[in-house]
Amino acid sequence: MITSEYTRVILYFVVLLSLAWPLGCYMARVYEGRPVFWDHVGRPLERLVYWCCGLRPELEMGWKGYALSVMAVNALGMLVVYALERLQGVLPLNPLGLGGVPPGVALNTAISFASNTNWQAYGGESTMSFATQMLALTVQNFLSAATGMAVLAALIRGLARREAQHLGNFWVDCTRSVTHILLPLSLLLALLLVSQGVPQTFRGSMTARLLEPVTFAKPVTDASGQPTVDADGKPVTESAVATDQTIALGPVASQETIKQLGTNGGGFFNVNSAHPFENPTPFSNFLEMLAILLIPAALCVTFGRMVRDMRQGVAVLAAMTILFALFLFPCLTAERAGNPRLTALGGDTTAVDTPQHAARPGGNMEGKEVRFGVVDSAIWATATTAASNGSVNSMHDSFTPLGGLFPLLLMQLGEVVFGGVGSGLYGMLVFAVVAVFVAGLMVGRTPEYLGKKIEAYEMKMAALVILIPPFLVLCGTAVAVATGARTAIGNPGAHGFSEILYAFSSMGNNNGSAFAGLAADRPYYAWAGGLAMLVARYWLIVPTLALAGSLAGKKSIPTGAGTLSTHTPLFVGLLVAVVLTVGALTFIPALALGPVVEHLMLSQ
Amino acid sequence: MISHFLGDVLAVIGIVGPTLATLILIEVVDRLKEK
Repeated sequence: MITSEYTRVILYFVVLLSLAWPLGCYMARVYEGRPVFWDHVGRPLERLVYWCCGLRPELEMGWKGYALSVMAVNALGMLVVYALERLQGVLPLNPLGLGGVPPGVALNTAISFASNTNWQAYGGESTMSFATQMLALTVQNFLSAATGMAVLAALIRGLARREAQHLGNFWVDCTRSVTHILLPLSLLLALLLVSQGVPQTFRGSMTARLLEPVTFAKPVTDASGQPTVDADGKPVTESAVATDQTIALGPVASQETIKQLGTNGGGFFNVNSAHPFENPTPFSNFLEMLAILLIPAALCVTFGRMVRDMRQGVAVLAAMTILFALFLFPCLTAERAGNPRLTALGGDTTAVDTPQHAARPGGNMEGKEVRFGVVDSAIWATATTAASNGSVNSMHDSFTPLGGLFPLLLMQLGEVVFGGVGSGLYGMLVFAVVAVFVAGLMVGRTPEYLGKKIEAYEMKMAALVILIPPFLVLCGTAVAVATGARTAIGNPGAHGFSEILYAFSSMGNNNGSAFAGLAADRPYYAWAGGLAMLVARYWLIVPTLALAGSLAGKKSIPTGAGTLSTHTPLFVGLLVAVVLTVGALTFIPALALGPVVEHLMLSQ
Repeated sequence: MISHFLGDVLAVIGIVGPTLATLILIEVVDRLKEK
């Protein structure tokens, strides 16, 4: 069984890295404006966008112009999404007759999807019309991913160019990301997912007759539709019998593909990729897991190509892969072990969260889908939190304390282990700048990265990129715990703290995955979370572009005997150590109050 | 109705306000370089 598990993990990595290489080379050609095979479809689309928007693709931008363009398209995107959500009740493509989304949730969702977070404080099938899902959310899935990729392209140009004032044209980079990369990959993946049974239809729902009637307690509502309560404040219910089930449908495949490829993560259905219509088979699960990390991994190859030194891209990819493995295997081991208290009762227990034994061949299945099991749930949980994807195929709230700790810490590292499309690699390159700075301090030399001197201004920008997310996460959590917002937790004690910490780690790092167990539609989480997502996205993009602009203007220093090589195993180790050290120093005290203490209590 | 209207106003401020703050950040970061 264990051999089979490791084989599946290795197969995943082999297929991922095999696909990442050609895709990375292809993307480098796209961003360099060189001919690619998709041009006969992509170029006309690209020219159509320029013509419709009145853009001049030949004009290059400095970092400020690039940053202003990012803000313009994203702010407009947020306002459009907000308007569509609020007005969906009077718009077409609303077969279930859903009303407008409440303002707080609509704001949270607008920021969430524009910032590539896709935190969902709502149930998709019961809140959003098809018009909102397709015109607002899916469009933002493309745009937010393209924004991250464009910013990365600008940073790479900043590293590659010498004494230059310009970083490229944001509109060109953003448009090409959509027309040449995201669109063709989405079309291909959507067809594959439809072949596995993922629906793509405008039919709102269908009704199925139950094999046997089900009796349930139905809440009694008043004339205004609000639940009634008795004198003790408890909900009044009446016995009811269900003979039919309404099954929600919709244009799922088109959203599912870009949700994974763009590391967005926002599901069509409330339970995301645990839902059989989003992720019906083990093969669809494998495809979606690949899609989560494919572009972030391939962008490392793109980076190597564009700086004309493939070893640099391989070094960063190696660091990401090592960090990923360092988190995947402990998560997998913790989930395989199950609940230690039940384990202590003996191997013949049939409880759901016991380790694998003869009576329970699937092992610890708490919170997991039977069609995926422990291994695919653990790989997904690690991949979705390493990348800033946030989709789930199992419920992280039901993981063991240690099984939940590793996905939580992966987000807290700043989403740089593969990370979001574009944002993961530009975050990791900022860590690389910090790593060469640390190495420079140790040997007493001015640090250099790819032939560019790293000076005070670059370090200030790097510090901003690294420090803003922890500030948002820790302050958001602290305020929630210290105020009435803590009553939103579903579990008392350490686990409840983990629910809050996870929510702000997710929003404050633009991940979007939910731990569950937290009433995230409460006003504090909707508003403070929205602000955290917005700041975590754009207040990192600004210093990243400023860093790119500064590096682009520098001369390239020839490599000397004292230059730190940034493609060697030594540098890969240093980069891994810097990422882990910054994350550990920042978050271990908070983790000790949540999953660590919960694990110790469970082990007693 | 009024609470929804206020909610909409606050939401638009919630988007426009941080966006303007980001524009200020762009200027601040640019001036740091000039120093």
